[in-house]
Amino acid sequence: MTTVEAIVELLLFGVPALVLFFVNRPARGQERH
Amino acid sequence: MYAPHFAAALAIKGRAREAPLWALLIGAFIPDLLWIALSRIGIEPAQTSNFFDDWSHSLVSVAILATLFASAFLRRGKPVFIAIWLAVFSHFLLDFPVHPKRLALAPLTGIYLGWDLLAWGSRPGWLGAINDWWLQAAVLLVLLLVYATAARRNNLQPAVAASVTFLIGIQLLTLFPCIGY
Repeated sequence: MTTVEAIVELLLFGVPALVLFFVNRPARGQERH
Repeated sequence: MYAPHFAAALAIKGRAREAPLWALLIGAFIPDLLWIALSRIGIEPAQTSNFFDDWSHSLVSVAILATLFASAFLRRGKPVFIAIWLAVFSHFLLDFPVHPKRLALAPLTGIYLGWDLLAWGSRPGWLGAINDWWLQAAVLLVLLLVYATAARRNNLQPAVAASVTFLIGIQLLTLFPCIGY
């Protein structure tokens, strides 16, 4: 696997993971204590 | 599989609210993250002709990875440990039916467990999409249903709608041959 292919593979994981993480963040004031 | 790995993390999050979602998402992809690293340095060739991922994807390897990664969250309690362990281990279960090569029991054993459905998965199925795409779509919908059911009880409808739409969109994107996964 080339470096470019490795970066593409990482982006295929990282970008959707970041989107899902931010979409599912608790709204301000709704964090569990 | 691709999108179902994300959905597995969400489904587990729906049942274990204390587990951090970032850890579940990373956990669900840990075997692939290890595979990228090992493939980059030539230990696990990614080419179809000599594909090999026994170090990162075998049953024993994934169980060890799950235990190591989940142990980092042991202080947060047993439910969090179990949730994160399951997130990592779900990778093995989801890759079991269709994978470039049957999944191994453990590295160097030569014993293979996974179903050898790659040929079936690569064949065109309903509406021209390959069988593997339909299998992934079916698994994705089941996992999203589990996530949505649990999240609805927790009053998280906007996040559910956005996540479900996003993952179904990703699944649709994989219909295009240029989107490899």
